Amino acid sequence: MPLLLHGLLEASRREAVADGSLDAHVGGEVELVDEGRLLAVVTPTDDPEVLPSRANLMAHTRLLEALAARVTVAPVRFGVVVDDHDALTATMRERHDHLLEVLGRLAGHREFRLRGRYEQDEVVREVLAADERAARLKGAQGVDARMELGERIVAGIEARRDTDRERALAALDEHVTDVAVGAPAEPLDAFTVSLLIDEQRQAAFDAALDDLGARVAPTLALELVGPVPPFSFVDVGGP
Amino acid sequence: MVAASAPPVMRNAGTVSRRPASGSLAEVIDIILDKGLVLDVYARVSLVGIELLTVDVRVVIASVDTYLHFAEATNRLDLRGQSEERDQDLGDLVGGMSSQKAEGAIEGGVDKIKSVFGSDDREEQEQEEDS
Repeated sequence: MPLLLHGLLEASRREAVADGSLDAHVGGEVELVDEGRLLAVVTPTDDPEVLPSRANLMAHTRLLEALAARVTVAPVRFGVVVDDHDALTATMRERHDHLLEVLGRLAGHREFRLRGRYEQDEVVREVLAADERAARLKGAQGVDARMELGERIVAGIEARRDTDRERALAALDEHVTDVAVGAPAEPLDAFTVSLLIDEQRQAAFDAALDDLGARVAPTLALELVGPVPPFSFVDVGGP
Repeated sequence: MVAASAPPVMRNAGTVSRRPASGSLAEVIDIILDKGLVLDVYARVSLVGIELLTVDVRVVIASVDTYLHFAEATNRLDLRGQSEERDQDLGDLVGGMSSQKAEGAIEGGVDKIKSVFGSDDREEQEQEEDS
Protein backbone atom coordinates (compact mmCIF):
# COMPACT_ATOMS: atom_id res chain seq x y z
CA MET A 1 0.00 0.00 0.00
CA PRO A 2 1.33 3.52 -0.76
CA LEU A 3 2.63 5.44 2.25
CA LEU A 4 2.22 9.15 2.94
CA LEU A 5 5.37 10.53 4.58
CA HIS A 6 5.14 12.95 7.48
CA GLY A 7 8.51 13.25 9.13
CA LEU A 8 11.88 11.73 9.92
CA LEU A 9 13.69 11.46 13.20
CA GLU A 10 16.55 9.59 14.78
CA ALA A 11 15.71 5.94 15.39
CA SER A 12 17.10 6.27 18.92
CA ARG A 13 14.06 8.41 19.77
CA ARG A 14 11.54 5.70 18.86
CA GLU A 15 10.46 5.30 22.51
CA ALA A 16 9.36 8.91 22.68
CA VAL A 17 6.86 8.55 19.83
CA ALA A 18 5.85 4.86 19.83
CA ASP A 19 3.08 4.98 22.45
CA GLY A 20 0.26 5.01 19.88
CA SER A 21 -0.91 8.48 20.90
CA LEU A 22 -0.05 9.91 17.48
CA ASP A 23 -2.93 8.04 15.83
CA ALA A 24 -5.46 10.54 17.16
CA HIS A 25 -3.91 13.33 15.09
CA VAL A 26 -4.50 11.61 11.76
CA GLY A 27 -7.65 9.65 12.55
CA GLY A 28 -5.91 6.44 11.52
CA GLU A 29 -2.86 4.34 12.18
CA VAL A 30 0.55 6.00 12.26
CA GLU A 31 3.38 3.68 11.28
CA LEU A 32 7.03 3.93 12.26
CA VAL A 33 9.56 2.56 9.77
CA ASP A 34 13.24 2.01 10.66
CA GLU A 35 16.18 2.22 8.34
CA GLY A 36 19.69 2.51 9.77
CA ARG A 37 19.69 5.29 12.35
CA LEU A 38 16.56 6.87 10.86
CA LEU A 39 12.91 6.47 11.71
CA ALA A 40 10.16 7.54 9.30
CA VAL A 41 6.68 8.48 10.47
CA VAL A 42 4.12 7.52 7.81
CA THR A 43 0.45 6.73 7.31
CA PRO A 44 -0.78 4.11 4.84
CA THR A 45 -2.92 5.70 2.14
CA ASP A 46 -5.01 4.07 -0.56
CA ASP A 47 -5.21 7.44 -2.27
CA PRO A 48 -2.58 7.40 -5.02
CA GLU A 49 -3.00 11.15 -5.51
CA VAL A 50 -3.18 12.69 -2.06
CA LEU A 51 -6.06 15.09 -1.99
CA PRO A 52 -4.86 18.53 -0.89
CA SER A 53 -7.90 18.66 1.33
CA ARG A 54 -8.32 20.61 4.49
CA ALA A 55 -8.52 17.44 6.62
CA ASN A 56 -5.39 15.91 5.08
CA LEU A 57 -3.39 19.10 5.42
CA MET A 58 -4.44 19.69 9.02
CA ALA A 59 -3.74 16.04 9.96
CA HIS A 60 -0.21 16.32 8.54
CA THR A 61 0.33 19.57 10.43
CA ARG A 62 -1.04 18.36 13.75
CA LEU A 63 0.93 15.14 13.60
CA LEU A 64 4.15 17.06 13.00
CA GLU A 65 3.35 19.56 15.74
CA ALA A 66 2.86 16.66 18.15
CA LEU A 67 6.14 15.08 17.03
CA ALA A 68 8.08 18.33 17.23
CA ALA A 69 6.86 18.84 20.79
CA ARG A 70 8.60 15.59 21.80
CA VAL A 71 11.60 15.04 19.52
CA THR A 72 13.72 16.64 16.84
CA VAL A 73 11.85 15.96 13.62
CA ALA A 74 12.55 16.83 10.00
CA PRO A 75 9.12 17.58 8.48
CA VAL A 76 8.40 16.18 5.04
CA ARG A 77 6.56 18.35 2.55
CA PHE A 78 2.83 17.69 2.52
CA GLY A 79 1.87 15.16 -0.15
CA VAL A 80 5.05 13.11 -0.50
CA VAL A 81 4.15 9.48 -1.18
CA VAL A 82 6.16 6.29 -1.68
CA ASP A 83 4.74 3.17 -3.32
CA ASP A 84 5.51 0.75 -0.49
CA HIS A 85 7.82 -0.06 2.41
CA ASP A 86 10.68 -1.11 0.14
CA ALA A 87 10.63 2.19 -1.71
CA LEU A 88 10.59 4.01 1.61
CA THR A 89 13.58 2.20 3.10
CA ALA A 90 15.47 2.56 -0.19
CA THR A 91 14.85 6.31 -0.08
CA MET A 92 15.97 6.49 3.54
CA ARG A 93 19.13 4.53 2.74
CA GLU A 94 19.95 6.79 -0.16
CA ARG A 95 19.60 9.96 1.94
CA HIS A 96 20.67 8.42 5.25
CA ASP A 97 23.73 10.51 6.15
CA HIS A 98 22.34 13.72 4.76
CA LEU A 99 19.14 13.35 6.77
CA LEU A 100 21.09 12.62 9.95
CA GLU A 101 23.05 15.79 9.31
CA VAL A 102 19.83 17.79 8.92
CA LEU A 103 18.48 16.32 12.16
CA GLY A 104 21.74 17.15 13.92
CA ARG A 105 21.46 20.76 12.79
CA LEU A 106 17.86 21.02 14.00
CA ALA A 107 18.49 19.39 17.39
CA GLY A 108 17.58 21.67 20.28
CA HIS A 109 16.02 24.22 17.95
CA ARG A 110 12.50 25.45 17.28
CA GLU A 111 11.04 27.34 14.35
CA PHE A 112 9.01 30.51 14.75
CA ARG A 113 7.31 32.68 12.20
CA LEU A 114 7.71 36.41 12.70
CA ARG A 115 5.45 38.75 10.80
CA GLY A 116 5.61 42.53 10.68
CA ARG A 117 2.52 44.39 9.65
CA TYR A 118 2.17 48.10 9.01
CA GLU A 119 -0.53 50.04 10.79
CA GLN A 120 -2.28 51.66 7.87
CA ASP A 121 -2.71 55.20 9.19
CA GLU A 122 0.81 55.40 10.58
CA VAL A 123 2.55 54.12 7.48
CA VAL A 124 0.45 56.29 5.17
CA ARG A 125 1.40 59.34 7.25
CA GLU A 126 5.06 58.45 6.95
CA VAL A 127 4.86 57.89 3.20
CA LEU A 128 3.11 61.23 2.76
CA ALA A 129 5.78 62.97 4.83
CA ALA A 130 8.48 61.59 2.53
CA ASP A 131 6.68 61.98 -0.80
CA GLU A 132 5.73 65.56 -1.72
CA ARG A 133 3.89 64.54 -4.85
CA ALA A 134 1.70 62.11 -2.86
CA ALA A 135 1.09 64.79 -0.21
CA ARG A 136 -0.08 67.18 -2.96
CA LEU A 137 -2.37 64.53 -4.44
CA LYS A 138 -4.04 63.92 -1.12
CA GLY A 139 -7.62 65.08 -1.28
CA ALA A 140 -7.84 65.08 -5.07
CA GLN A 141 -11.04 63.52 -6.36
CA GLY A 142 -10.35 62.59 -10.00
CA VAL A 143 -9.90 58.91 -10.76
CA ASP A 144 -6.45 59.49 -12.29
CA ALA A 145 -5.29 61.47 -9.28
CA ARG A 146 -6.61 58.88 -6.85
CA MET A 147 -4.97 56.08 -8.81
CA GLU A 148 -1.66 57.91 -8.75
CA LEU A 149 -1.98 58.66 -5.06
CA GLY A 150 -2.79 55.03 -4.24
CA GLU A 151 0.04 53.82 -6.42
CA ARG A 152 2.50 56.16 -4.71
CA ILE A 153 1.37 55.03 -1.25
CA VAL A 154 1.74 51.37 -2.21
CA ALA A 155 5.14 52.08 -3.76
CA GLY A 156 6.20 53.99 -0.66
CA ILE A 157 5.28 51.03 1.53
CA GLU A 158 7.04 48.63 -0.82
CA ALA A 159 10.17 50.74 -0.78
CA ARG A 160 10.64 50.45 2.97
CA ARG A 161 9.94 46.73 3.39
CA ASP A 162 13.51 45.55 2.88
CA THR A 163 14.92 48.14 5.25
CA ASP A 164 12.39 47.35 7.96
CA ARG A 165 12.99 43.61 7.60
CA GLU A 166 16.77 43.93 7.73
CA ARG A 167 16.58 46.25 10.72
CA ALA A 168 14.38 43.75 12.55
CA LEU A 169 16.65 40.83 11.70
CA ALA A 170 19.72 42.78 12.78
CA ALA A 171 18.12 43.42 16.17
CA LEU A 172 17.46 39.70 16.67
CA ASP A 173 20.53 38.36 14.92
CA GLU A 174 22.57 37.22 17.89
CA HIS A 175 19.70 35.05 19.18
CA VAL A 176 18.78 33.44 15.88
CA THR A 177 20.49 30.38 14.38
CA ASP A 178 19.00 30.61 10.89
CA VAL A 179 16.60 32.78 8.90
CA ALA A 180 14.35 32.08 5.92
CA VAL A 181 12.79 35.16 4.33
CA GLY A 182 9.29 34.73 2.97
CA ALA A 183 7.31 36.87 0.55
CA PRO A 184 4.82 39.44 1.82
CA ALA A 185 1.26 38.42 1.00
CA GLU A 186 -0.71 41.61 1.51
CA PRO A 187 -0.07 45.28 0.81
CA LEU A 188 0.27 46.10 4.52
CA ASP A 189 2.64 43.19 5.25
CA ALA A 190 6.09 44.49 6.05
CA PHE A 191 7.83 41.14 6.19
CA THR A 192 7.43 37.49 6.98
CA VAL A 193 10.47 35.58 8.21
CA SER A 194 10.95 32.11 9.60
CA LEU A 195 13.45 31.95 12.43
CA LEU A 196 15.30 28.95 13.81
CA ILE A 197 15.84 29.53 17.52
CA ASP A 198 18.11 27.59 19.86
CA GLU A 199 16.02 26.58 22.89
CA GLN A 200 18.85 27.83 25.12
CA ARG A 201 18.45 31.29 23.63
CA GLN A 202 14.67 31.43 23.75
CA ALA A 203 14.46 33.80 26.73
CA ALA A 204 17.07 36.17 25.29
CA PHE A 205 15.30 36.09 21.93
CA ASP A 206 11.93 36.89 23.54
CA ALA A 207 13.41 39.85 25.40
CA ALA A 208 15.08 41.19 22.25
CA LEU A 209 11.82 40.75 20.35
CA ASP A 210 9.87 42.71 22.97
CA ASP A 211 12.42 45.53 22.74
CA LEU A 212 12.13 45.51 18.98
CA GLY A 213 8.33 45.51 19.15
CA ALA A 214 8.35 48.57 21.37
CA ARG A 215 10.83 50.33 19.10
CA VAL A 216 8.98 49.82 15.82
CA ALA A 217 5.53 50.62 17.22
CA PRO A 218 3.19 52.18 16.31
CA THR A 219 4.11 52.02 12.61
CA LEU A 220 4.89 48.33 12.67
CA ALA A 221 3.07 45.63 14.66
CA LEU A 222 4.90 42.35 15.23
CA GLU A 223 3.35 38.94 15.48
CA LEU A 224 5.16 35.75 16.48
CA VAL A 225 3.63 32.38 15.63
CA GLY A 226 5.03 29.16 16.93
CA PRO A 227 6.79 27.03 17.71
CA VAL A 228 5.99 25.27 14.46
CA PRO A 229 7.75 22.18 13.05
CA PRO A 230 10.96 23.33 11.31
CA PHE A 231 9.48 23.26 7.81
CA SER A 232 11.61 26.15 6.62
CA PHE A 233 14.97 24.67 7.58
CA VAL A 234 15.09 21.21 6.07
CA ASP A 235 15.81 22.07 2.48
CA VAL A 236 18.10 19.42 1.07
CA GLY A 237 17.90 20.50 -2.52
CA GLY A 238 14.68 18.91 -3.71
CA PRO A 239 13.29 19.48 -7.20
CA MET B 1 -14.62 66.23 25.04
CA VAL B 2 -12.27 63.51 23.90
CA ALA B 3 -9.40 65.81 22.98
CA ALA B 4 -7.05 64.85 25.81
CA SER B 5 -7.06 61.06 25.50
CA ALA B 6 -4.52 59.36 23.28
CA PRO B 7 -5.90 56.92 20.74
CA PRO B 8 -5.87 53.42 22.30
CA VAL B 9 -3.99 51.95 19.35
CA MET B 10 -0.85 53.82 20.47
CA ARG B 11 -0.65 51.78 23.66
CA ASN B 12 -1.40 48.35 22.23
CA ALA B 13 0.75 48.45 19.16
CA GLY B 14 4.02 48.21 21.08
CA THR B 15 3.48 44.70 22.33
CA VAL B 16 4.37 41.72 20.21
CA SER B 17 1.39 39.46 19.74
CA ARG B 18 2.28 35.81 20.27
CA ARG B 19 0.35 32.76 19.23
CA PRO B 20 1.35 29.24 20.22
CA ALA B 21 0.69 27.32 17.00
CA SER B 22 -0.78 27.39 13.57
CA GLY B 23 -4.50 27.72 14.13
CA SER B 24 -6.20 28.79 10.95
CA LEU B 25 -6.14 27.03 7.63
CA ALA B 26 -4.76 30.11 5.91
CA GLU B 27 -1.89 30.17 8.40
CA VAL B 28 -1.19 26.48 7.89
CA ILE B 29 -1.10 26.92 4.15
CA ASP B 30 1.24 29.82 4.49
CA ILE B 31 3.58 28.06 6.89
CA ILE B 32 3.76 24.53 5.54
CA LEU B 33 2.27 24.11 2.11
CA ASP B 34 5.31 24.21 -0.11
CA LYS B 35 7.94 23.65 2.55
CA GLY B 36 9.58 20.62 4.07
CA LEU B 37 11.72 17.74 2.91
CA VAL B 38 11.18 16.43 -0.58
CA LEU B 39 12.68 12.95 -0.78
CA ASP B 40 13.02 12.71 -4.49
CA VAL B 41 14.70 9.34 -4.88
CA TYR B 42 11.83 6.89 -4.76
CA ALA B 43 9.24 9.29 -3.42
CA ARG B 44 6.99 11.62 -5.35
CA VAL B 45 4.94 14.65 -4.56
CA SER B 46 1.48 13.50 -5.44
CA LEU B 47 -0.59 16.60 -5.21
CA VAL B 48 -2.83 18.01 -7.86
CA GLY B 49 -3.06 21.74 -8.34
CA ILE B 50 -1.08 22.64 -5.25
CA GLU B 51 1.38 24.93 -7.03
CA LEU B 52 -1.44 27.04 -8.39
CA LEU B 53 -2.89 27.43 -4.94
CA THR B 54 0.37 28.54 -3.34
CA VAL B 55 0.90 31.14 -6.03
CA ASP B 56 -2.63 32.33 -5.51
CA VAL B 57 -2.17 32.75 -1.77
CA ARG B 58 1.24 34.37 -1.88
CA VAL B 59 1.05 37.05 -4.48
CA VAL B 60 0.66 40.60 -3.25
CA ILE B 61 -2.21 41.95 -5.22
CA ALA B 62 -1.29 45.50 -6.18
CA SER B 63 -4.36 46.07 -8.28
CA VAL B 64 -6.55 49.00 -9.14
CA ASP B 65 -8.64 48.10 -6.09
CA THR B 66 -5.58 48.26 -3.86
CA TYR B 67 -4.61 51.67 -5.21
CA LEU B 68 -8.10 53.06 -4.78
CA HIS B 69 -8.27 51.61 -1.29
CA PHE B 70 -5.08 53.39 -0.27
CA ALA B 71 -6.14 56.60 -1.99
CA GLU B 72 -9.37 56.54 -0.04
CA ALA B 73 -7.59 55.75 3.22
CA THR B 74 -5.13 58.57 2.56
CA ASN B 75 -7.82 61.06 1.70
CA ARG B 76 -9.73 60.28 4.86
CA LEU B 77 -6.60 60.54 6.96
CA ASP B 78 -6.19 63.75 8.85
CA LEU B 79 -2.60 64.82 9.24
CA ARG B 80 -1.09 65.35 12.66
CA GLY B 81 -0.90 68.85 14.02
CA GLN B 82 -4.48 69.67 13.11
CA SER B 83 -7.40 69.75 15.49
CA GLU B 84 -7.01 66.81 17.84
CA GLU B 85 -10.71 66.38 18.15
CA ARG B 86 -11.20 66.16 14.41
CA ASP B 87 -8.23 63.84 14.23
CA GLN B 88 -9.86 61.53 16.73
CA ASP B 89 -13.20 61.54 14.95
CA LEU B 90 -11.69 60.98 11.55
CA GLY B 91 -9.37 58.36 13.00
CA ASP B 92 -12.38 56.46 14.29
CA LEU B 93 -14.05 56.75 10.93
CA VAL B 94 -11.00 55.52 9.04
CA GLY B 95 -10.46 52.76 11.59
CA GLY B 96 -14.02 51.57 11.21
CA MET B 97 -13.95 51.65 7.45
CA SER B 98 -10.60 50.04 7.02
CA SER B 99 -11.35 47.23 9.44
CA GLN B 100 -14.58 46.56 7.55
CA LYS B 101 -12.66 46.43 4.34
CA ALA B 102 -10.00 44.18 5.79
CA GLU B 103 -12.61 41.77 7.08
CA GLY B 104 -14.17 41.64 3.66
CA ALA B 105 -10.82 40.93 2.08
CA ILE B 106 -9.92 38.23 4.58
CA GLU B 107 -13.29 36.55 4.25
CA GLY B 108 -12.87 36.64 0.51
CA GLY B 109 -9.51 34.91 0.87
CA VAL B 110 -10.87 32.27 3.20
CA ASP B 111 -13.80 31.58 0.91
CA LYS B 112 -11.40 31.08 -1.91
CA ILE B 113 -9.33 28.66 0.11
CA LYS B 114 -12.45 26.87 1.26
CA SER B 115 -13.61 26.43 -2.28
CA VAL B 116 -10.38 24.59 -3.03
CA PHE B 117 -10.23 22.75 0.26
CA GLY B 118 -13.93 22.54 0.80
CA SER B 119 -14.45 18.96 -0.28
CA ASP B 120 -14.19 17.52 3.21
CA ASP B 121 -14.88 20.37 5.57
CA ARG B 122 -17.66 18.40 7.14
CA GLU B 123 -15.53 15.32 7.53
CA GLU B 124 -13.08 17.30 9.59
CA GLN B 125 -15.73 18.89 11.72
CA GLU B 126 -16.95 15.43 12.57
CA GLN B 127 -13.41 14.38 13.41
CA GLU B 128 -13.03 17.33 15.70
CA GLU B 129 -16.26 16.53 17.47
CA ASP B 130 -15.16 12.93 17.92
CA SER B 131 -11.84 13.76 19.48
